Amino acid sequence: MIKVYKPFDYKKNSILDQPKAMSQSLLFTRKIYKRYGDFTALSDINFRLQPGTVHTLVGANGAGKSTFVKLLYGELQPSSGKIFIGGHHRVIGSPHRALDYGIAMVSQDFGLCENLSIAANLSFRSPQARGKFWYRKRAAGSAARSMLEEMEIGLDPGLPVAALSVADKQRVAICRAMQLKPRILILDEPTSVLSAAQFAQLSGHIRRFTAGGGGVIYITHKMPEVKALSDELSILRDGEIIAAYNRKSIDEMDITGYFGNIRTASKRARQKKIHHLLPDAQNRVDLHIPPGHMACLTASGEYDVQELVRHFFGAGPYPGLSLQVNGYPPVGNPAASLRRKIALISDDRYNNGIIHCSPVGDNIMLAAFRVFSRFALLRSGAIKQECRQLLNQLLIKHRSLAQDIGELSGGNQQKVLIARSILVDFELLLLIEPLAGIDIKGKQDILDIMKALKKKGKSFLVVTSAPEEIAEACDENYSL
Amino acid sequence: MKRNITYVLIFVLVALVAVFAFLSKVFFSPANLLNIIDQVSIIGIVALGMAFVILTGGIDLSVGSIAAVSGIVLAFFIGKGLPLPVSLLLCAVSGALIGALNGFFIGYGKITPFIVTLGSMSFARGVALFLTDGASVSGLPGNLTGLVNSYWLGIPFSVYFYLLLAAVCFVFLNLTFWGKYMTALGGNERAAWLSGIRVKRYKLIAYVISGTFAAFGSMLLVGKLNSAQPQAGNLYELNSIAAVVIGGASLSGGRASIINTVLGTLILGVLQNGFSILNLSSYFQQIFVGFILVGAVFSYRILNQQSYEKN
Repeated sequence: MIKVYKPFDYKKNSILDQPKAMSQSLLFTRKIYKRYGDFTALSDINFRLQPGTVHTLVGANGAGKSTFVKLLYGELQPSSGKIFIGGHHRVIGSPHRALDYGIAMVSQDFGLCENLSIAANLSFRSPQARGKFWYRKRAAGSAARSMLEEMEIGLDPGLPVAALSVADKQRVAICRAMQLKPRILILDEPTSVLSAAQFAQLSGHIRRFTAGGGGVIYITHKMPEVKALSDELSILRDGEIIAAYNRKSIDEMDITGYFGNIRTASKRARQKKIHHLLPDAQNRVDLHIPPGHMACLTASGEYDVQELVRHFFGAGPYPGLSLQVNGYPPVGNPAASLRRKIALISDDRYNNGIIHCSPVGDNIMLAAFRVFSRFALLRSGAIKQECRQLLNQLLIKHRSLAQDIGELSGGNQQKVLIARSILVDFELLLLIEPLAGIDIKGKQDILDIMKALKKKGKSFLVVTSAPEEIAEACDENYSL
Repeated sequence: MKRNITYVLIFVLVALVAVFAFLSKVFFSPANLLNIIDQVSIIGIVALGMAFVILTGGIDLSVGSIAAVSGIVLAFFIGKGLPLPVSLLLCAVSGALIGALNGFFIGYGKITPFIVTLGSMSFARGVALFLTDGASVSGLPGNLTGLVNSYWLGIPFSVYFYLLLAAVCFVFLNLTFWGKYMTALGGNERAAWLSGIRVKRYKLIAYVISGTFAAFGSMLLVGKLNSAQPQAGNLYELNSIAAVVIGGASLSGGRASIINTVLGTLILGVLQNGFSILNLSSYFQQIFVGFILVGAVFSYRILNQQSYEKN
């Protein structure tokens, strides 16, 4: 069994209050909170990074990993709490400051300027490339060449970044961060597109970096990497560190492809059989979901199931493979899907779900305005009544129909999106990471709503990296 | 939030009127107050159309040039002896067509609105100059001028026309599903698309509205001057954008209100009228408008800060 220990329990055993422990850590944080209105993205984060170690962060999408490292890199500011670097309390006001304090980060989107050459990208903050007033192109080029050689990346520094493959971009981004000679290196999913050989190369560099006394904060979804690299491991869920492990307990963990599958999985979820899907000869994946059933689809690593489901809904391309549900092939656009009573609630509510600066009522009605109008004129009485009814049924906490959607918590926003789908009278609802970034009570509410809808004969297809969270409402488990 | 801005705008408008009334007796006469609305009616109508475009997250730089072209179309057909209603219809259609061209390239061609309308701004201006050979079209029979300069119950025709169009826009934006769809796609285009809204079509409609309203503006302009000039409508685009933005609209889309746009227009009109009645240099007026514009947007940002801080 996995041993869980809590290294930073201040109330009982405040090791970090001891001056020695404080000055020995490269970085530690005390009681970090990050709030957005009612929503708490991070709560009470006490985190420590020791010199010469790799501290891995894992957790589902929306758990707060990226938010946390953005605080450390000065992209965001904590709502409360303190960050200590080398034993000194520091306010990291901007990435520029973070670099001054010896913190470098490779973010998920790499942060490269696509329009510039590799050399130009590598020369930011590089003294060689900086003349008195002007940019020293040749010096930047030769400096870049030696950086790339040191990192064993065989690319011409004159190439524009836009011409690189995603994997090469990722490697250039890592190269840039490492060449800034930081004390603390943050890698946010640095291997998401790297091959096994490239990972081996990267882990060599990371080992060399930590041998020199540096510390690495490493975010990943891949369990083998956790085992290969971590000296310490913290698991985040819903903005809290729910468990922490040391080197020894990490070795005892059993490997499953995705980390979401092993953490605190309930017995019920484990007992459930997972059907492994395989594409047929026409590169189709067939799925049958009877009315009133919920199917859960997880990725086993080979395919991007989120994109596959989006493609099925008509919201994006997926070359080489297609999903078929109940005999329906993918369609060309979302409107066509909605006509066959298939709705989608995508992940990333902020970008794919809610209409910003818009009232709660309008957000619920979005897909159904046309139904609730006569000769294009909205039937405002009927709309209000319908919205009120849904808001009450789904227990959506709100002040009024006219309240701005941005003021609602993540869980309540998600319920608004479910209400929106209910109004299009869906038969099959596709959900991508439906419980990400939602507090515990909200999660339970949403599960209850889905169970109630199942009784009415609605079916669901849920794509998630944490299937145990929806286990109690789920009927079949698939992986692809 | 929207309502807050309305109150702020009403307060600013009343304050400005009070200041000018204190400084000048002529300013606060009913005749002059009506005169202000009359003066801003053209730019106000153009701003109504602009509000829809800005609502969808776009911008329309071509409204001034469209006003020039459709004004010339109107003058041409009136001059040919076509009945007034038919000429007016053709004028509106010409504006709608150029708007549709904008909307097609922006919605279906996925080109940045700034570029497309910058292009059609030059294109339409060129057409206007070409059609007239750079000269103004005058010598029209007086029927349009008679109508535009007429008074009903002591109120100029242009005021009725402006307020009627504003009312139509208000209904369209707030009480029809078309208005809701445009608001939604401005607020979050991808979310609207995923909800089955035909995003491209509604973008196109926004530019058709904008072009048509520029033509409506040109009807008043031609009527007032009893002639059509190829150089007409200069700076309409910037003034109408200013009115919409002072009215609290966000250039990133999703937020625009008809009432606030009208109030924004009136604030600009009061400034213009007040400064000229006080015999102050129009240079001061420009300086002041600059302050008002940036100050307004800055204060809205402060008002909005908390709710939209996320990421």
